[in-house]
Amino acid sequence: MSCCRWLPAVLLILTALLTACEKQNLHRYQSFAFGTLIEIKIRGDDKSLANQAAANLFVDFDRRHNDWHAWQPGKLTQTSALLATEEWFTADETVLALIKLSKQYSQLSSGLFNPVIGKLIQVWGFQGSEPLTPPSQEIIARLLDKLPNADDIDIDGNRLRGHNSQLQLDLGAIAKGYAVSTGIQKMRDLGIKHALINAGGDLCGIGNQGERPWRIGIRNPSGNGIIASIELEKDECVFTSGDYERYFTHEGKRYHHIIDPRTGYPADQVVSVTVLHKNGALADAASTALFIAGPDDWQPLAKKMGVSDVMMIDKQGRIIMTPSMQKRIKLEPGNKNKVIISKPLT
Amino acid sequence: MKPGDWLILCLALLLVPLSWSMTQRNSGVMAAIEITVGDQPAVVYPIKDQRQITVAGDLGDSVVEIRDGRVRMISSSCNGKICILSGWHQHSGDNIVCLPNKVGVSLISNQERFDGINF
Repeated sequence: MSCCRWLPAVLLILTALLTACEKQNLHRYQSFAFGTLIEIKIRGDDKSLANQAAANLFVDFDRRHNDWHAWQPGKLTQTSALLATEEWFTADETVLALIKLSKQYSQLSSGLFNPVIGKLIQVWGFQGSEPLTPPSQEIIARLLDKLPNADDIDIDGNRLRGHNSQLQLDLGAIAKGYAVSTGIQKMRDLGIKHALINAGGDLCGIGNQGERPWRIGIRNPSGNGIIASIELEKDECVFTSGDYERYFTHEGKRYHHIIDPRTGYPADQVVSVTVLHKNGALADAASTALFIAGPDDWQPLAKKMGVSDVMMIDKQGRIIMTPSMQKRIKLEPGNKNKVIISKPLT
Repeated sequence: MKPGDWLILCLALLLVPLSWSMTQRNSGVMAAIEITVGDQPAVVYPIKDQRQITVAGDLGDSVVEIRDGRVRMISSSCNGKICILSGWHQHSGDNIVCLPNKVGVSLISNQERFDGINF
């Protein structure tokens, strides 16, 4: 009867394996909000808590989308109009924190993330749903002549004053990151320990998926499947700025939505920049700033902005990444792109 | 062989198909698509059938094609057509989104290789 001695161990192993096969308590929600398709995954036993958290978040995303909209009349457009008067005014609290953070990150990015060039974005047509033609050189030159930057906003407590009549807020390069990070914090406050928010391809996660971390695939900018994957450590976000997200083609030339405030034209050296960071707002703003900085100038800027996990794919298809990103990222088998590991950001 | 050896052999034979099954389930191959239109509840479609699905969005019709375990948008009423140009998608956790038309296609499976796709 020696087999009986093995029986408990066998049953234990089988039970463990079968349990691993069972689906975790994973609750999934999806809705159009914040101008994109948002997916929320929450892992936990309390389904009603998950339902409540997801519903709250979708409402919150929608409210923020309206408050922070760059061109539809609302809190942000009112603030832009008041800034253009160049007089002191008390800012609405729903936009104040984001404006303060935008100014801070803009300064860190040496102005490459510029949250006040709404007029420039507007003439390119990226404030409507369907841009069709590029603006004339004359229009761009006129806007560049007095192009505002974040230093043109004075901040004194909850009061703001503009210094440039051309100031027009467009927080599109930071708002989603800020909203998703804030959403994660709200879920944490509700007692949720494991969640992932995917806001139109930009993601923040807390906790894990169950038996493994949240696992994120990074889409190949060429449109051919996945180029790499990454496992999120506790409380991390992964944001990518890419030239394929919004663009139009005119007379055979493609124009994308990431405008270089130095030239007035789309930045043209890079295809995508992926940033991994605990702070979604910073990851969002930094991915845009590093995209504009380009393959030659992104490293000092990344260091200045305090982001160390960066992957850039340039126009030649080369994958350039920091040593710390190399440790985190797993390129897909059969990757044919040349991989360059940058020097550490010292 | 002793009874214990037989037991180990049986266990090993049992583990082979079980491990294979788990590997397949974690392969990230999608099992279904979920189409969301505006604020309407999502509708799930299996991918085993080759088919085209027409949905009415804010601007007009969008046509989603399922073929050979992959999915793509082949027609959309928006001007940019970015959803169409993004081509075929096959990994669970991925999405095809036409924002102007408020149509979203999510690729799902029971055991996803990826929990989300960054782009």
